[in-house]
Amino acid sequence: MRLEAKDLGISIGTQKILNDINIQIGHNRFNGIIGPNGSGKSTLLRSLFNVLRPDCGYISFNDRVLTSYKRIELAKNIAVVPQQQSLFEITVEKVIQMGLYPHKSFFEKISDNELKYIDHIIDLLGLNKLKNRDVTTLSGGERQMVLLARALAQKTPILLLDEPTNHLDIYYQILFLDNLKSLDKLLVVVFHDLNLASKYCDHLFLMSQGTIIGEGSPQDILTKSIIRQVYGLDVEILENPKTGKPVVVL
Amino acid sequence: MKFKLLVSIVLICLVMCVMLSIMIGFVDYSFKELIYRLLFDDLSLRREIIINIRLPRALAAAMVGGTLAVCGVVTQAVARNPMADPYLMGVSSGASLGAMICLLVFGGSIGSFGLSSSAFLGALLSSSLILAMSFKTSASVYHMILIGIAINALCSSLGSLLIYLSNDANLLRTLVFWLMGSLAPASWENLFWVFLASFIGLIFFIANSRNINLINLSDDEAISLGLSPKNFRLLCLVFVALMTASSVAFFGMIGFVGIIVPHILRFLFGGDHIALLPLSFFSGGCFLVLVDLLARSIATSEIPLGVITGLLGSPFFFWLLLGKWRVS
Repeated sequence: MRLEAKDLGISIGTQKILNDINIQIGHNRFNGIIGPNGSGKSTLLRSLFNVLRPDCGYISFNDRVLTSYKRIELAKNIAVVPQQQSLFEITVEKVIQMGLYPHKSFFEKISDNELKYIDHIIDLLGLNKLKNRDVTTLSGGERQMVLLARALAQKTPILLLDEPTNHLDIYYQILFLDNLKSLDKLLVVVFHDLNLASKYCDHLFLMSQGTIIGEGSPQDILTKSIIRQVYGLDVEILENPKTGKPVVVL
Repeated sequence: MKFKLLVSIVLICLVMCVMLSIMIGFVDYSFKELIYRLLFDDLSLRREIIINIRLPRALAAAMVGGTLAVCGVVTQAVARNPMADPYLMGVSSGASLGAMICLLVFGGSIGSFGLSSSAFLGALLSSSLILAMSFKTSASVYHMILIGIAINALCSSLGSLLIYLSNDANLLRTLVFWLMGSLAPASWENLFWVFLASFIGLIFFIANSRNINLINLSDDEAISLGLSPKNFRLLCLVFVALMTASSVAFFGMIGFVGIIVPHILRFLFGGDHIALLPLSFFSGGCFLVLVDLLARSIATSEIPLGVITGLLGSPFFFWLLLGKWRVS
């Protein structure tokens, strides 16, 4: 599985948001995109599943240009957990079943095996008690878990997540990311929290002003000088004694 | 299983409502007589009343009610707004305006097909305007409903202008009829066109009920689950226009059905469109059959349907909004 952006530029209206992006995703399993507000992280993620079309350059998936894929083909390969949730009065189980829609033709029923698979995901993410609840009555953390479950039900090799731990308390942040880490999928996750990015990611892409200004392991990217340059903050970097990963101390 | 049981119960209710509507009126029938007249009698006037007046009218009420409820459900999903409805968003008034212009140009000589086609063109034009302006201004779906309201105001004003300028008393009565709605003109001929449009639209929507669930999410989520939301939204509005136009062309503007029925069903059974669409069709049918029965029973002369749906709908809507009937 390989996602690649080559000389990518994207504008929204007259505003240039992304500029000259060159990245390859696929060598590492857990990839993080970090950077200050307005650096273009979400725009880059949205362009990776073809919501935004490039002005110049291209994105390719498995060496084929992304725009040449039908939406339904992409949905079988790339699942997304969006930043903004837009849910309506429907049970948790039905929301998760939406993940199967790309695999279904018009009148095709959901098979018993697929229902078992949905139950397996519900078990995996500990959503059993919420299964028959109206999703609009859930807390932010619970909803986020449901959206992850829906993305898992899509059975895709690639999962994109846009700031999935926003608005979650520390318990749900860890629960959510532990679940994510245990998945056998290529993950691309936008992070605001540098310590969470450091703890979970194998590879980080650092963005600033619409372009990638650095990439590498958390040890390579989360250094005092880079954080001062990008965020304008003086921080201390310690080493986590358990994982050996850097910890940013304000 | 629960879904099939629910749909079956509502379908049985619809059949009972239709039979009740046939039995009650200026001439009353017992259930036994109704069956006898339908199956064994072939000449009497009482049978003629059933076959050519009561039955097409009851079926028209069922079909139009179902159509308007389904159009309400779909418009609310497309606009991602629970207040959206073809009546509110100018699709109905577009259809009405199309039919009015057609009547003014061709007079009474225009046939059912011509009337229906012009109503469809009117509905399609108003839907296209909503979409074109939404795309042109990159408006969010929330702005889409505001554009719809503006187009509704435009079509209604043009309709009122036509009525104001009309000198022909007969034509004037016909035009006013569109603004109030009535099932009195129901016949087998116009029932055929309504049935055809409803059938085509309903099959499309039921086949796409999963996609209608997706269009109710954000555009990014819909795309990530394999849907092209802009194209699908357009397609939905074309079918809404087709279905609404066929009803409005023959029976005028009947408001509120597309809001009341879907809301009651969402309160009771949730918002999954796989269940909501067939349930809305049959429940909307029940609702309008009963409203029509009321319209022709409570006074010596028939009361326009739009008046009854408005009178019933508004207080009921307030009651719902106050949360008196929340079934979890």
